[in-house]
Amino acid sequence: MNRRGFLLGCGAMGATGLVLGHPRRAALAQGKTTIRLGDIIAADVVYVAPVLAAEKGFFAEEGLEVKRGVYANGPAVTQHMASGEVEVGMAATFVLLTAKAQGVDLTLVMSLCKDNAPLAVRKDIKTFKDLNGKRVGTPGLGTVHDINLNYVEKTHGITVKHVYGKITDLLTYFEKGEIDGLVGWEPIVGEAVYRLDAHYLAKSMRPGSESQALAVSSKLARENPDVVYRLVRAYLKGIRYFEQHFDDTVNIVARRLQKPPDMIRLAYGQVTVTKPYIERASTQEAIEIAIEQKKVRKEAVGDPAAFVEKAIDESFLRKAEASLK
Amino acid sequence: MRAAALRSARVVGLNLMVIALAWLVWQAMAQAAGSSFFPGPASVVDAYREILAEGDVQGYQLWSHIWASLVRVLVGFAAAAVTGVALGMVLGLKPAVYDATKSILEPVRFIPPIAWIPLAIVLLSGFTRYAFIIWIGAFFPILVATMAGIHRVSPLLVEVSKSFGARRPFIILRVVTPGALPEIVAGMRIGLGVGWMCIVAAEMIGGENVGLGRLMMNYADLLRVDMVIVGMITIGVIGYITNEILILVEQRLFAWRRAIKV
Repeated sequence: MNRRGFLLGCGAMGATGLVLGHPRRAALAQGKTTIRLGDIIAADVVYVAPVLAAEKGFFAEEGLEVKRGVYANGPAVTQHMASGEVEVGMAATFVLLTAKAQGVDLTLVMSLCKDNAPLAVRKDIKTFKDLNGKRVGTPGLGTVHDINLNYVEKTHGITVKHVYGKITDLLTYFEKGEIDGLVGWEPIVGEAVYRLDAHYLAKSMRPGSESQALAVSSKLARENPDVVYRLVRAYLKGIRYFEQHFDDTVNIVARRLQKPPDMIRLAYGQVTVTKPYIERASTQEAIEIAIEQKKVRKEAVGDPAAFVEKAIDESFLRKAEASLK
Repeated sequence: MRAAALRSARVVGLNLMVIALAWLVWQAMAQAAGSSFFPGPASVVDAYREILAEGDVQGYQLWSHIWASLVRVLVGFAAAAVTGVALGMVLGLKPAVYDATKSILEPVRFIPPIAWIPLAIVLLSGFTRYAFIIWIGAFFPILVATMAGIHRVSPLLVEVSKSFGARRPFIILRVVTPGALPEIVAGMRIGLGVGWMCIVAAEMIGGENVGLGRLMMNYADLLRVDMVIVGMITIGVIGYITNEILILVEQRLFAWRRAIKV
């Protein structure tokens, strides 16, 4: 090879590298659609559907390449949806709706988890009345777990001091005695029970209530409905895998989170991840509590029932379900 | 006297004009953006009114947040000033000690204060956690400025003092320290600024419910950008006031050192 040939070869390799080096371009080269997904730290238990879709190749089967960004909590995911950094986000249903009320252009397409509202406390706290005046860690003022704690305070006539922090730090605060209990998503709360001698005061602060959902930017739903449909299909395949291969799922999640499988099993006792339709009544109730707590402005929501209904589009889910029958 | 008053009036007037201009630019940018996530100045003024009248979403008054952050900053900064100046004096006066310890001091200096937060969460609790983060942020600028200040003291002054029979403690207290003080105060101003940056980052991490960083984080969670800007402006104004106080102290102490005009 002469010098000119060598230089041309290098140039061609460099250009190929530039084209394929960029993830979106690389995906296009393979005929895949790239999706930027906002995820939450240490939430593989509740977001098991996308975990399995990634691990078992369901995203690839649907022609999708999912680029996952991990954030501290649901509100952080919606902030990144607002900026357009991610076009698909997973967060608490209530948090997604709060973001919608503030003007984030998103549509909820399916539920990922129900319950997921455990409250773990020190062993000497045996009743809700014992919790009065105590310090309880929550993963943020704008989270559904904080709303659920508000609900417990309201229904049991008690007041607790909410201590905000990153969910993984709440375990440290609990271990050091800075807080008397914690609320949050599994398996973090389960870890307090499994490892730090806490006990569940409530396995679900609002039994059966809606917890987490998948939302897409409304622009994506309008302009690329097929992408959303394929995404929902991949998630549904993940749910089906979970139902049929529970033990394998536990091992996968345990490996990803570097936690003992028994702890993951314990966590799955507190959550429901196999009902993909969004439960309206508890979602509406969460919005009403948030309005009471001044976390959401009433004028931004209007009628809560109508607001919730307008934010949800389950047509992709129904179509995907029918296709998988 | 009259010239000084005129100069002050001109400075105030110019700053008011700049503020008005900034207000107009901000308003224009917000209108151009047309997004609820980029509120204009009028929305932020409304948010100020709301929080001053009703408190925040948890019921805390803005003053509680300001006070909590201010106390944390001042305690951490005071600790940094005492330790930074003391160690800076030792290292400045004894280069051999600096040479023997720089393999530890210099790498530690480059660790961002925020990187210490996970360790602070594990090892410390409550107030001490915040004070530590501010201390570590403010300590090194003060330490380096103190060492630099000592190195800049004219050897001639020291030699003259010695020739008049001055002893070492006298030279350190009456010759070296006053000579290094302008740099030390400059280091303190930098350290105070870094302290404010640290407190906001530390409070955002959590563990306590009051503090301007926590206030901003709470409202960021609720996507209330107007309230986040309230926190940002409040921090800026308080930082500005504390910096002006340090400048006043500096001017009083070093009236002999005037700014050079060319």
